[in-house]
Amino acid sequence: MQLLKLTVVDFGVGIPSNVRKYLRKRRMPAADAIRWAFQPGATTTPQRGISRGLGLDLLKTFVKTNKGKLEIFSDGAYGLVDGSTEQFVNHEPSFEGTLINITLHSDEAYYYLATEVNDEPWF
Amino acid sequence: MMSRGSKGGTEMTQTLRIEVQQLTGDSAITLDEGQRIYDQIHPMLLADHDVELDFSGVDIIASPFLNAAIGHLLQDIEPDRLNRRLRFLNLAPTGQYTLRRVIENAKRYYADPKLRRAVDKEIETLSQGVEA
Repeated sequence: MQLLKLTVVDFGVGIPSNVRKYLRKRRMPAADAIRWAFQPGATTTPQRGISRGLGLDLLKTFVKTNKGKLEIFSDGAYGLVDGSTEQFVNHEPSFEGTLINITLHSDEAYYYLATEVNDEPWF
Repeated sequence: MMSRGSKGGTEMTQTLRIEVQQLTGDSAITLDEGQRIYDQIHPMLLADHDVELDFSGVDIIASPFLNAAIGHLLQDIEPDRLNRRLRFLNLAPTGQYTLRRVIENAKRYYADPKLRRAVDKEIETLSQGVEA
C-alpha cells in the first residue's frame, strides 16, 4: 500500500488565537476553537461579501474519504481526523504556530471524492 | 479565449463562452483568479444571457477560486436563473464535488444578508485596528 505523508508548518499565532479574536470569546478552550475552525463556512478572514471558509472542511472530508489521517497541533489544541475518528482536545505543551501532519493512501482507488454522476441542478 | 454569439429568434440572447484555462493555466486556485472570471460573467448573467465555463485542461480547482467566481453570483442572482443560464463544461469529478460545497456554503452565507454585512463591517474595523 502506497502512503504519502505531508507536513505543513507555520509559526504564526495559531488557529485558536484567531478564532477567539474573531468570535470575541477570550476564554474559549483551544479544543472548541479548533473544532469551530473545521466547520464549513467558518473563517476568520474578512469576507468582503464573498462566502469562504471551506478549506479545512474540504481537507477533512478528503482525508476521511481517503481513509487517511490528519493531525493538527495549533496554539494549545490538538486535532485528529481519520476514517472513523474526529476529535479535538486541549494539548500541552502548546505549539506556537500551526503544524499539520497528513497521511494519504496514494492508490488510485482511494483518490476521488465523488465520481458518481449527479444530475441535480447546480444552484 | 472568449467568444460571443447570438442565438436565433427574437430574444437576442448572447452566449459568452470562457475557456478557464486561458485565464488560470492548469490550476484555478486563488480568489483573484476567480474574481476575474466573476467580473466577466456577472454582467452577462444579470442581463439574462447564457454563459458557458469550459474547464478543459484545468487539473486543480480550489475553493477560493470557486468562491469568488461562482459562489459570489448568488449575492444578487436567483438560483433559477443561474441554473438556466450558466453551464459548466468538462469539470472534473473532484471539481464538481468542490463546486457543490461552494454553492451550498454561498447559499447559507447570502441567506442572512443583514448578519453578513454586520459581521463583515465589524471584522474590517477590527483588522484595521490591529494593523494601525
